[in-house]
Amino acid sequence: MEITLSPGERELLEALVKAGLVKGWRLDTREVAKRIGFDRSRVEALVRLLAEKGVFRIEEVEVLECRLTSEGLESLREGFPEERLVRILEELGGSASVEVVRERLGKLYGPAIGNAVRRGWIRVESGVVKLVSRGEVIEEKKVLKIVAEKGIVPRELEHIAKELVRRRHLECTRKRLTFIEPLVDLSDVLKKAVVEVGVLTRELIESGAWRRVRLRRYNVAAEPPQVYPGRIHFFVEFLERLRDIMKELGFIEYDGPLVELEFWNFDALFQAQDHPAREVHDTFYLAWPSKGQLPDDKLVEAVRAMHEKGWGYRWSSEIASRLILRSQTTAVSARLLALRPKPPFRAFVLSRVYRPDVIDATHLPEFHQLEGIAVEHGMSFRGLLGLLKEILSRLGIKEVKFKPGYFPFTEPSAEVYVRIGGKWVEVAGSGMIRPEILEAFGVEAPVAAWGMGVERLAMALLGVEDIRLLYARDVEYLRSRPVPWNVFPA
Amino acid sequence: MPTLRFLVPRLYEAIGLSLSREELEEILFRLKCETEWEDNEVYIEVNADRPDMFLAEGIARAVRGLLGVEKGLPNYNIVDSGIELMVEDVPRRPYAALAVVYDVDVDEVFLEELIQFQEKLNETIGRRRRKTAIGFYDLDAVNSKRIVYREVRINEVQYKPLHGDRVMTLEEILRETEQGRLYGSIALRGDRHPILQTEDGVILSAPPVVNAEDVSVKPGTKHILIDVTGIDWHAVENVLNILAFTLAERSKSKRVGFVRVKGVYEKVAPQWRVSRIEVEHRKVVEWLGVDASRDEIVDALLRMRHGVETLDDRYRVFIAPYRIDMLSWVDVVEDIAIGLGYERVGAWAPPPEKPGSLQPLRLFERAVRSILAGYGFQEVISFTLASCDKQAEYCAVPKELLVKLANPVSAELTCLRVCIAQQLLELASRNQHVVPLRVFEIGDVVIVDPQYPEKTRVEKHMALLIMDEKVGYEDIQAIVWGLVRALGDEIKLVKEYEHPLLIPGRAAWIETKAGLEGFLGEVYPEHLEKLGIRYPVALAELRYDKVAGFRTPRP
Repeated sequence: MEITLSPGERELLEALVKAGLVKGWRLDTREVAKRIGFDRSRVEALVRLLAEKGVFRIEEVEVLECRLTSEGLESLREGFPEERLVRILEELGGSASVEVVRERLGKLYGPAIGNAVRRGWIRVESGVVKLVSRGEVIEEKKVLKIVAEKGIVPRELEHIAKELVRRRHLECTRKRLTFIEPLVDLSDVLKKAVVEVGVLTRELIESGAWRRVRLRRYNVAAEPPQVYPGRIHFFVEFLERLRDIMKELGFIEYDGPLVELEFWNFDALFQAQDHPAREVHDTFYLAWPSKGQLPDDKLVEAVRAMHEKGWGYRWSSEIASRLILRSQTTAVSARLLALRPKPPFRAFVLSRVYRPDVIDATHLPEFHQLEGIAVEHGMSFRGLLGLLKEILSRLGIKEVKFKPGYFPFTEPSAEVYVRIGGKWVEVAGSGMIRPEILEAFGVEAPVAAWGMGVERLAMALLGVEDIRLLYARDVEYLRSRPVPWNVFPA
Repeated sequence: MPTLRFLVPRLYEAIGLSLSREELEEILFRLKCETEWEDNEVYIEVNADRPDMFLAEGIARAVRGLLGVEKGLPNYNIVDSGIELMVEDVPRRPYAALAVVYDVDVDEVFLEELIQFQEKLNETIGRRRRKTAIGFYDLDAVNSKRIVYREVRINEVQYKPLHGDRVMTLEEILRETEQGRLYGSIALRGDRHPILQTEDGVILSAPPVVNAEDVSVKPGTKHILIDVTGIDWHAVENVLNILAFTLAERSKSKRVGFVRVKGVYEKVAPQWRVSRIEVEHRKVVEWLGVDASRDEIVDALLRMRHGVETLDDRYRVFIAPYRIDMLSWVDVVEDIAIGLGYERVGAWAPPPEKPGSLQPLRLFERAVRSILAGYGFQEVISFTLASCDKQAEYCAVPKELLVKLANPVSAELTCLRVCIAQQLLELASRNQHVVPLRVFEIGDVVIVDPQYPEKTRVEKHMALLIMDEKVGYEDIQAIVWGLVRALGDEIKLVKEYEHPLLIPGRAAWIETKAGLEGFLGEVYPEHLEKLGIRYPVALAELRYDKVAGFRTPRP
């Protein structure tokens, strides 16, 4: 028979064979352990495994384990007290007075008299002990002998052992023993067995022992432990994809300060100084530092003229120099346009903007915008809408519609709606930068511009229901989100 | 953007056409409006640049135009109301004007719409009544041809405020009514406040606060007297034009009466003064990128309710006085685009003439991300807004270097961050179920720096954190050293570093050849205890914007 053995099982069998326990024996594990110098618990565990493989038969036996007390030992050596009484009486001619017997037996007198009477060996009559029949203790002595030799009382003799316990000759406890008995020739098993291991180790390979072992088969469908890779944030992957798309479309990436002068955020963009967007509900103002430094006079004066002519009010450079947190990335576009870029010039910004919104499932006080400008001779509103469609289509969005809208710095303006998952979502504001602004900056070509709400787009495309999850603090959530590799067209 | 509410049948009645909801929604979409239907009501979000559409009749005028039912400039009868407005010196709110719209026939539903019209105008172009404010009166109840606008002592005048149940002094009105508390301070000058009254002393209102009940517009009112007051004549006249020439749509006789203003200045308003903007055909075609014919363009302008004259190479466009959003030729071009429909304009992306590029530091960031992910670090993103107190404590910077908000929305988000480590530590305290924790963040921090026009500068930082049963300086050092090596960089300087967050002797400041700089170390257990963190933590924060070669070229 061919069986597979673990290295431990093999070791046990080898030890047994070495100890001569090849076949035809029956021993309890304690005994076996003693003989081969193993821990009993190890022997127990291994023989159970081997029993399953048909190498051993195991029998669990309950036994009475006993040891002799000093009385027991004495009785075994000198005979039981009642036997010694019989011998004294024989010596004294069949009878003796109680006093004589007591003197000869000492402290054994009580048990000797009691047991001899119970056995019917003597009679005590008016102070005289008379021998009735000559008896011998046989069974009890046998039990004592067995206990002295083996420490265990066979089941059929247990009632005698109990009697001996009562007579304080023995102390006993009940024990379970495992008896094992080989069903086959163990040296044969060893010759034919294959050793099976769970782990292929360096030692197995280096020693060449791997040739003699078999690797345990796995339950390949069992659930493994969960391990997570180090990961780029899923929202960052989305942002990086947007950057790549903009680059593909010929846009150069720029960024600007997060703390911004109102001048760049509003005034340069023709947003009147009393425009509602400039109130505290819509813009974060700074307590410190609160005032910045306006750019060169020529530009400031051009912006002043644009406002005073267009909106008919006295423009204040004081207001324009206040510091805020950038509320739109268009501020960066304004800075770029003020540098009078030479057309053709395409630029984009993907960065954070701030609005004083209380945090909930759809609002955050800071979020990302994807800002684009295209300064090109021949750029038109149609070209702007085309660029927006192109960007969105590279994100895999085919359904786009444009709604006429209003922004102080663009004309015409379009709000961009996309359909994702059956829902129309507004994702961007766009338009042609007003000629008044271009004139103030000295830009010679038309400028198409837009600002896209990145979080909204990400939520729709990545199926994130709550905007806060894009900034999740729970690492468990972040590492268990799938990588959005298949969200965008290749 | 103001949202207006109308009863559906009323809106249809004003439009006077049989359109399905979808058709109406579509046409409103083209007029910059978003529509939501709710049972018998419709909510229309109108863009702030079209205050002439804050009334159902104004929406109807635009819708009928765009559908081609009524094209070109509307016609109204402008008549002399015979009323004179005597304006005295009112320093805090110098300007006032009146108009009459006849035969409006106010019922209960229209009264609500009228109030909505007034409120939306006050909120938007009126800048919450500061710039301009509006009052409506029943002309027959006023019953006087001479109205006076003047300042009075607030304890000398009394009237029953709108919806009030008793006559109160103006002082009481300002103090005790809701309107008084909200708007009472706008025009108050010491104990003086402007009022509008008839020559014989009947109070119409105390602008911009509240009208008098007795002369107010009620269901049954036939002719409406309108007042607009404000701090700027141009704005006052604009609002008056929007009101008079939009309410005129509701007038059966289309009659609008002007009023002569006398006193500190002399004016006649409202006037049907059509402004003129010329735009070249070539400009239209170039700006829009659409090869539309002259007829198409003329038709688009007429549908947008403008008047048009076609000259050789240009259009002369006549614009109604209620279209205050029309500033220059480009606004005309937008109306042409809307009249044509954005669908007609189309969309075509011009191919790029030059290659695009990323900021040079993006490639560096991508490299850092892939190396750190390789080390088993999970990337996280935090806000750049953080708590001033925590930043000052954990980033070890004086508070003067923190950018502090004047109007924060949360007690935890009061400053811009100057370091990321503080936020990562807080994140660690919330993720003690994910030990071992290895996280990193790459992002902007902002620090006060008077050298810049914005008085601040943005720095680019990366921060790394390890939290485990057992973690120490060497663990974070091994990662940082490995990162630097993998980037092809070299440690140039290492020295012991004192940082209140880090254990002395287990913290270092490093600088690399390429220009990375920052600190790393083991977090002091006192801070861990304070944050409720039960594990040791090691972290690093490096600034990377000084790495050479990160300059983006000037455009």
